[in-house]
Amino acid sequence: MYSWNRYKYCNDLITHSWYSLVGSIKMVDMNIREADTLLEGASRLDRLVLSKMFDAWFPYIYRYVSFRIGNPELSGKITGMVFSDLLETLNQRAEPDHNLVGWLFAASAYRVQAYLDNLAFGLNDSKLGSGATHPNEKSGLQQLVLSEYRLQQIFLGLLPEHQHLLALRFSNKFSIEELAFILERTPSQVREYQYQALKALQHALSSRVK
Amino acid sequence: MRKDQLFRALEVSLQSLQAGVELDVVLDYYPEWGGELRPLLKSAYLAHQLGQAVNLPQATFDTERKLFLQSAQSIVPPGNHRKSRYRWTNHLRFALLFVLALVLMVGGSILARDLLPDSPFYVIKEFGRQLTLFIPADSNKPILSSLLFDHQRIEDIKSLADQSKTANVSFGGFLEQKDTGEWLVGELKLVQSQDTQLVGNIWSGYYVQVDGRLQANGEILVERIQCKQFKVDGLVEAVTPEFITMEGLRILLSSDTFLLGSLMPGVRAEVTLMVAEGELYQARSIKIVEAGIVDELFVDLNLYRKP
Repeated sequence: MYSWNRYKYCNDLITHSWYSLVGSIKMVDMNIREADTLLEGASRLDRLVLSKMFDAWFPYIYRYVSFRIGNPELSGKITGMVFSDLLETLNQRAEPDHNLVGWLFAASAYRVQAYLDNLAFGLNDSKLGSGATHPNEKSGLQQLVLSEYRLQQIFLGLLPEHQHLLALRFSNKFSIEELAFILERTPSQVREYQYQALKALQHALSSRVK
Repeated sequence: MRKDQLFRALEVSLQSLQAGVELDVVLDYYPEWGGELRPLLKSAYLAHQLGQAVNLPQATFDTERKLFLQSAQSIVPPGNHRKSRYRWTNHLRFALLFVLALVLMVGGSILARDLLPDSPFYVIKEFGRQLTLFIPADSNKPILSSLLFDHQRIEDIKSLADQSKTANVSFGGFLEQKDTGEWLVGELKLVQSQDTQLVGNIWSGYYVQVDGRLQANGEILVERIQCKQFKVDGLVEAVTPEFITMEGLRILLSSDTFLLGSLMPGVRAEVTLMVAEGELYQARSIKIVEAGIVDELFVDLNLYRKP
């Protein structure tokens, strides 16, 4: 009886692990790997495929861009530029041959960084200072919550790769497996990057709050 | 290992937070990491809040979608994908050319087997021979192949001579000088005229290249004759004052051998040599090449040394 129960317990454990594994892979398959099935049609510049791709991934890219730069109107424009870049790349036959989503987020990161670099020349320190507040800033939501505008400014102080990872993780709530696929890294590497990025954010927050 | 456990604990805690579990409850999962996880999870919570605030306005989506589709419309060439087809055509063309070349080579060599030098298609046979010699090979294989082909050429010429035909011929062989002074190459009698060009020194017993015309009486009226030289490229295995060994060949040195560079075992050299009867190889010049670079110092300073 003991051994049977023990066997059943182990079996349940294995089955549970298996389902959780299958579940996580399936989730990635449904969301990200499915995008790669569109690549063939996209490389033919098939308009139906292109529109399907746009509808599926524009919201994700928009959320990423908006997370990083804050301005909704500008985020829409930058996201549009990312898709224009994709179109141009496809037209030049230099299309991504795999990992379309990874390509889109990398292009977004590039566009955002270019925008932020340009912005840095036009802004003086007083505007980026910790005392600055946004006109629409709300206060007292929770003890932890800083204003959206101030938090955005703190994010800008992080390294671009940390900003990129945190934006991917928290704008679209990608899992570690999905992030690993997008970034073409192993899950354990992504876990480590995530730790480093959060650590950097923690330091930035504590220095700003002081 | 410990760090890895921390990274995993952080990830599990983040997932729990996203699922709506309270921060203090989550921290109870990992009491040993509590001190480290708490500030990280607070930071993550703020990042999470920032992500929550993002919403895509429908108007922005519609506008950008319209622009994107308009761009796609303007970029796509109407109704065709030339480049894609072009790629296929290129591959197909290459495959066809390859098959055609293969058929020509195999078919040509079979058809040309019985051709003699008086045939206009004899060039096909020659082309096949040159192609074989062109393929890189080690050691003295090209030399032996060349000797074999010249032997075949001589046989072809003899067949033609038996039929008392005339033709322009080109062949090689060991030069034999009779006591009477007449020259023979592969039992073919060579006849000189005023127009015959003797290129360089011609030595009896050495391998020569003959261009001329086969006459009805079976003699070859020589237009041009010269000692044939071969090139061998490889590592020098041994050096003595009399000879060097390279790629398994024993190559004789003489006072006429030009040496370019410092000759020693282990260096890579290009040797121009003549072949004498009895498989004797006589070096005409030796150029030392090390790691693919010619020993330019010797070239520049004209430091030609004799062994």
